[in-house]
Amino acid sequence: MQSKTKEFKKELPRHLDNDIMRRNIAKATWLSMQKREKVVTEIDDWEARREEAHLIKKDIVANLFDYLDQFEARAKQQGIVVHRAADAAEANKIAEQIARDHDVKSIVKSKSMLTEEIDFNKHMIGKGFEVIETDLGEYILQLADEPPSHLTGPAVHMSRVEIAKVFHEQLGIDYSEDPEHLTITARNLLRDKFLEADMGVTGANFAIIENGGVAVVENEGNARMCMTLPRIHVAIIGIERMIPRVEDLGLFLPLLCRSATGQKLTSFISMIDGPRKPNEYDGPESVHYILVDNGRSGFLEDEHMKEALHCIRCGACYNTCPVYQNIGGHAYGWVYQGPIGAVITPQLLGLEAAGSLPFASSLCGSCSEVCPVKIPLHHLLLYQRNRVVKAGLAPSMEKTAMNQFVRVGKSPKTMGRLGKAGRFFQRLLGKKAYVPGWSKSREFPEIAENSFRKWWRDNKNDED
Amino acid sequence: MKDTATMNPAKTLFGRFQLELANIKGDAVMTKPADLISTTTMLLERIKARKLAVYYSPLLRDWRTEGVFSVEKFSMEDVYELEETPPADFDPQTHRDRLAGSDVAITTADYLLADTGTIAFRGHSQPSKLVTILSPALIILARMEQIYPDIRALHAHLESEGSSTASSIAYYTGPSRTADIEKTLVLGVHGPKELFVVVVE
Ligand code: SF4
Repeated sequence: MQSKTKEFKKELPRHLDNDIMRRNIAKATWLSMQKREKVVTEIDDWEARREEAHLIKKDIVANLFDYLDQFEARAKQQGIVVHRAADAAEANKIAEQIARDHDVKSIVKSKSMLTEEIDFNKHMIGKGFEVIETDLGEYILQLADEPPSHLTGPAVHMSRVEIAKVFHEQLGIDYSEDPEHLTITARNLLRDKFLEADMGVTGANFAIIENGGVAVVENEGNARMCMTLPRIHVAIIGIERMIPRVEDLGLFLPLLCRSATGQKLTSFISMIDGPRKPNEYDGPESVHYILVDNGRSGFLEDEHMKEALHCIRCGACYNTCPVYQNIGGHAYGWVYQGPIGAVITPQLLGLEAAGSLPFASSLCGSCSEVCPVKIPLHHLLLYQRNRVVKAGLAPSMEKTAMNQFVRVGKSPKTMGRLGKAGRFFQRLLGKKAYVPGWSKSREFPEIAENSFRKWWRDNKNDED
Repeated sequence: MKDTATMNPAKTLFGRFQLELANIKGDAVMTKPADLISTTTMLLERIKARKLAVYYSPLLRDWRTEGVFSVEKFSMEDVYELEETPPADFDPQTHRDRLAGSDVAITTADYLLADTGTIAFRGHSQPSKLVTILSPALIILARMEQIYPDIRALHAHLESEGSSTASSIAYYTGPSRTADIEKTLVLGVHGPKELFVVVVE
């Protein structure tokens, strides 16, 4: 996905003025949080489970490449062809080569943020393959030519009117705003695509080290079809997706599902277990894994940022974030959004390109509280801000303001003088200060009659 | 509290399973072995099935000898019967077409999870994965003793059996669903829209 993170600040007003989008996002995030709350509170040892998951992921990240070797070896034992890709370009090249080797024309795929990250569709379509998104939300976005705006609900920003228009214009069907009708239309069209497709592409939620399997979590059944119907199945897997054992699914699946959609488990959870066996009726002839680094190993060099690799992409931090609730996903300018996006995007795309994102947070800490794998998101946001400032990339206005503030704050004399001046002007002009931009949505507080220092001098003996 | 104390724990688990499945828009019924056929017939009538696909797992094999799913008996247009291994003249294309064209599929589950209303299939324990995904309705048969309290209990059991490592598992928790259009729930977007579980006492 083309990144627009550099234009973050410039673009913000456009998103804030988009009332339809903001209404949809507000409704969706509110509903999701309600549902999550209900199913999380019914688990007595939720906190202990978060801690357990955190420790497991910590161990994975600490020994990432050893585990990756083990995972690869087990996958090969299952008859799966394993490829490794250092970056997006390499991952796409490998996928393209697999497609060519197997004489593939059409590809059906299920939702995967990693394929958005590496711009898989654009690459493959550019090389002449047909690529069809089959998750309903992703299919809508493909028709509308828009990027996703949420981890689990990629089209949450759109209203049914907008979706109805897209279906009407792109598919030539009669105009209808009825979700049921639109869904059935998509089902029928996509069913044909499924039956014709040569290759299915999925992502991975959990890569299981002990048996080389991969668990894919979904609600529609489209991912299960992508991995069972076509001749070739390719799973594109981030190298940090691993968990040690099959048994750990008992821990991680409820954490993920309850946090993501407020379901106890999603409708379908399937496991990749190699190509079709001689005594089986169906299943792919050949199964490939593409293990993608694309900047992930860079996190390992930083003690703090390492923890961001624990993320299981549930989207709960998006839903709970007051900033995401107001600006929506597109404002962040790339695939990963909300608090976790604001933390990892500057790492993946560079501080210069995405340095504004960590500042899009009120640091309220709500994200850290909901995160099922206990990533200290608000600490990492602060940490990233620090890195941006240290790299000399803080916005210049802010830099000047902060430097002045430090000067003033350090000198009681200057502080006192400034306060006096402020009070004088406030009386003189009869109104509060105006700061361009800032004052658009906030009121500058009135400056108190007396300074705190004066109040202290006058009152400090009262208590004695 | 006399009631709960005397209640069969397996039946309590079934009660929970049934409730959880109902919450996510699936249906579970309990039946005696002798009534299994009439219960299934009732469900087929309710679905108004015309084209049936059935996988003869060991649990179901007996039925076939009795000719339960014969075309004549149900006045079905088509009954696609899957054996434990594909026949010598197996044609993958016809297999897919018949499954995609069926309006209900019948098969058996390996485990049920009470706490979440979940059906679990061991990978490679069923010779066809498409049986459970292509038809708009699904009837799953299981035995009472296959119900586990929750996913962690099942995995602990698999681990104790020593079969955890080798196994792959698929979980079905309710029918296919989406909320991608304004968070409105729509069932049956790709996979089955109707899901029935028949548990044999
Ligand atoms: S950071 Fe935590 S809350 Fe946010 S998407 Fe990842 S796992 Fe979920």
